[in-house]
Amino acid sequence: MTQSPNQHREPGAALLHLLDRAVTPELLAESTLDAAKPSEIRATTLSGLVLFRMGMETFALPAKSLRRATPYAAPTRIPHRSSSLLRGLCNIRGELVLCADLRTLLGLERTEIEATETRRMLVIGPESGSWAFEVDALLGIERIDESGVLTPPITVEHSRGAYVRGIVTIGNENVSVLDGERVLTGFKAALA
Amino acid sequence: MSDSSGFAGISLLELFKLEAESHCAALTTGLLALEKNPSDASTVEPLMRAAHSIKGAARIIGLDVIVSLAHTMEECFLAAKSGKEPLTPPRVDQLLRGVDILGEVRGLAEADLPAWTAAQGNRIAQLVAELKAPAPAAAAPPVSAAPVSVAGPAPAAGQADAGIAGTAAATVEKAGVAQVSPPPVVAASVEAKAEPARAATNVRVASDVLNRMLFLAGESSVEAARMRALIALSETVRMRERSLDAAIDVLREQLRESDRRTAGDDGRVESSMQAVLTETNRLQSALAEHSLKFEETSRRVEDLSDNLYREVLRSRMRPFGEGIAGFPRMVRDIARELGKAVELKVDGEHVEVDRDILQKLDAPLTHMIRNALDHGVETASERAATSKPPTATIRLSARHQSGMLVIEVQDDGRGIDAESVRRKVVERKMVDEAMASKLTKPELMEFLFLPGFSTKQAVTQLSGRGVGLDVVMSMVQEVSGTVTLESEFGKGSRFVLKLPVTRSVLRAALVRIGGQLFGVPLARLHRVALVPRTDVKPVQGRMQFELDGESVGIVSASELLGLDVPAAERENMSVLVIGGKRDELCGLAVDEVFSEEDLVVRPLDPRLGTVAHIASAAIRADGVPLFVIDTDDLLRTVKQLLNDGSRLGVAVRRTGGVRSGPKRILVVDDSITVREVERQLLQRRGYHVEVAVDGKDGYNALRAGVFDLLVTDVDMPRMTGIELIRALRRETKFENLPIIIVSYKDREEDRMMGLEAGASAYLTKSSFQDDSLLRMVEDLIGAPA
Repeated sequence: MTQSPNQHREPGAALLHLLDRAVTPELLAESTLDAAKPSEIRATTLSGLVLFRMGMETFALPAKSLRRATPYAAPTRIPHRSSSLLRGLCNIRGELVLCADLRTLLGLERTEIEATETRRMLVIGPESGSWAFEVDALLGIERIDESGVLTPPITVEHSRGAYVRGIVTIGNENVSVLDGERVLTGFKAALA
Repeated sequence: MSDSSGFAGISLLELFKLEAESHCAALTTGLLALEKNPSDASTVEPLMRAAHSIKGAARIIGLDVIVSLAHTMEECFLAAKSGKEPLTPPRVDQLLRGVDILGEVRGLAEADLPAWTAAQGNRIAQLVAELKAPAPAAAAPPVSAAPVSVAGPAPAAGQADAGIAGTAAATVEKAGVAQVSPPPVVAASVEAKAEPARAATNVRVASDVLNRMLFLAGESSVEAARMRALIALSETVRMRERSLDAAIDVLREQLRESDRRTAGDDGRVESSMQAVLTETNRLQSALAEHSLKFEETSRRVEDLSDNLYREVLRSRMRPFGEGIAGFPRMVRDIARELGKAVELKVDGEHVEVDRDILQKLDAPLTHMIRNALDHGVETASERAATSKPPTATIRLSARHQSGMLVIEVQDDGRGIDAESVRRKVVERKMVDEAMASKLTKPELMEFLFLPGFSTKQAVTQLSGRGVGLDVVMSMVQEVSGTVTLESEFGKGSRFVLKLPVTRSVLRAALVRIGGQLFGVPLARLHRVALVPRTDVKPVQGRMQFELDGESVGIVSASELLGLDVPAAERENMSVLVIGGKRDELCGLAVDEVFSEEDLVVRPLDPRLGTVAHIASAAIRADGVPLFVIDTDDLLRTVKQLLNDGSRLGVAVRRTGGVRSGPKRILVVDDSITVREVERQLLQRRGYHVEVAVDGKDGYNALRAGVFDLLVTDVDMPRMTGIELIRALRRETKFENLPIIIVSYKDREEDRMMGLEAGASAYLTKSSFQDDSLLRMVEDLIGAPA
């Protein structure tokens, strides 16, 4: 450090110089206008969505309702209990978690191609009441502006409508944003 | 609250309770040991420390009454240590009452504390006063005493009256007390070895934390085992590299060839070729090294995870002594009360027992020991008459024997008169006289475990052994163990409990039922038999086979469990023979029996409630979840079905009678609209309706559940309605399932195709309007309920 060139004799000197520079009236006026504008950032709520694919469609769940995402774990049927909605129990990282079928819940058509390679399990719900379900692929987490979530059009099929909170456009795709709580309630009905 | 682990969320009172708990145990054992051997001053020291610690802890939470009690107790120990005041049995009684009071605090909720202190203040003060007074003489009977004069500021001293301990001796001058000869020990003396230092190294862990650790450890060993597959993968990489090598060699030869032909060899190609070769060689050795090291590491990780798993499993174990800490005290108190001289001998205090089992053992052991004290053991004079040693012995022992935990409770009392049991059995018309005369002694003893076998009269007649022994039996059966009673009239009795060492690990037979893996507890398995199909004969509509000269009925496990019937019928049937001695044996036909395995069992998700025929769940070493069958429940169902006159057996189709409620219909259609319309239509009529989105889904739903009727569409993705019906009709389970096709197609050839495939009826979708669907459903399966 002793041999360092003069211009850096003090760390942060350049920064100080920048901050200490004289302000021109034009700059002042421009900055004032800027500051006076209503802030867009402040007006929007950003929320994280977990995007996943089932069949040809993309769905999303609020990231906060997702407990974990794991590799596919085949469910074991529960004698006298399993149905097309209640798939069984699956082993999620050493714990046995009830497994439901989101497709059945949403009334989705099964696709011909089963995406075995990319299949994942998503786990939602509280620790003592969690549910796992299978998705064809996990696409990642996207932060979106809440105001961009639109009320689903009435044309959305009835059985699905109960679980869809809204539609949001990401890229050029329409993504159905599911309501975590309502999905949980739907799964719970499988136990009745 | 439920997941709070660690001490962060624990109140001061909780901490006090934790502390008091360990000290109380130490106080009890120490006091009893001291009483037996008052000269052993070394045992007083830990008692002083325990009392002192409780005093300190009580001071922190401001429990003044406890502070003064603990302080006084400490003083007593100090006096005993210096020899000023030996611990006589009455004094020990007083001190034990002090321990009891400390014990009461442990059971209190924070909110109840002030009320308790207010209510018990006087009682505690009184005890404190008694403890401060000189010890009463042992032999003196309790009398209503004059007010005791007490040294020191004891607020409630004046009220210390009533036969608690104020005795004639209390008026004796202190100096005189020392001269009171040590009283004869009439009460129980107890052989309680001082717990070695290892007890101090125990820590408390919430059991659900421990369970979670166990699951994670199990999972980690599963994952570690998966690395072996990766080793194979790196072997593939090396093979690929070798083929690349070979390909380069060929290329080099060809280049040389073409160089020679063009004669333009300036050595450039050759040298870059050389460079490629050098690189591939390096790659090869790097890969070799990598896979070698990887293999080493993975083996180590695998070893480590296995060890971790075993250790975590072991941490569920507690020493036997911990679960019976209260017994020496109990024996002493009851023996004193009854005026009998009894010695409790404990063997195998360090034998490790699963904490669940240890907890469950408490009630039955208490029962058996109380019975022995109450009815088994004679009074000293009776014993003298039969020339037995005056002090009776109750021996409680634990040991591991061939993978089981064996616990014995033995007394040298009067034993059980087998003939009296025989008379009782006949009297109660349980067997006729001819049969009764043939019953062996062990067989007679088994009657004592029947609920309500012993009545009040029987208590005196049969040494009261029948009282509540069914409780012992039910606990033992609950953990898949056995209990036997041996007794020699006049000489004593012995209970032998054989229990699994742990409840968290179950030795099970792995079987396949309806294509799915299940565990069956080995302890409940009478036999596994491979029965040639030709040996299975129908008798009165039930399938039976011969086992050791007895015919055993066979039922299909997959039908009982509502699973698929195996497609291929093997030449030999795998039959699990279940049922206890007293139960009828029953054969369960399964697809296949694999192996024995140790399963780490876990309770079912409470959200599922009770699942019929299922006891618990487990995860196999390969990570696959499976269920453990509740054989007792299964047997109950079988009996019930047989009593109902239901036909049930390998050849029988339906699991009728297992369920109740409205008739169940499965609706299969790929159109959500049609599905919903059909569902609502049928549901409104009162049927239970489930839906599936295509043939495949419907097929799975049918195999997983029980349905009375199928309503299906024809044109569907993945599996059409026609394919579905054909697949169903191939299986015996669905041979007679009523099926209605509801389709848009109304041509005659479509109808024919549907009916030929095996549909019971063919309707078009207009049938919704004119009720013909509902009429057809009623025609086929009747009204909903």
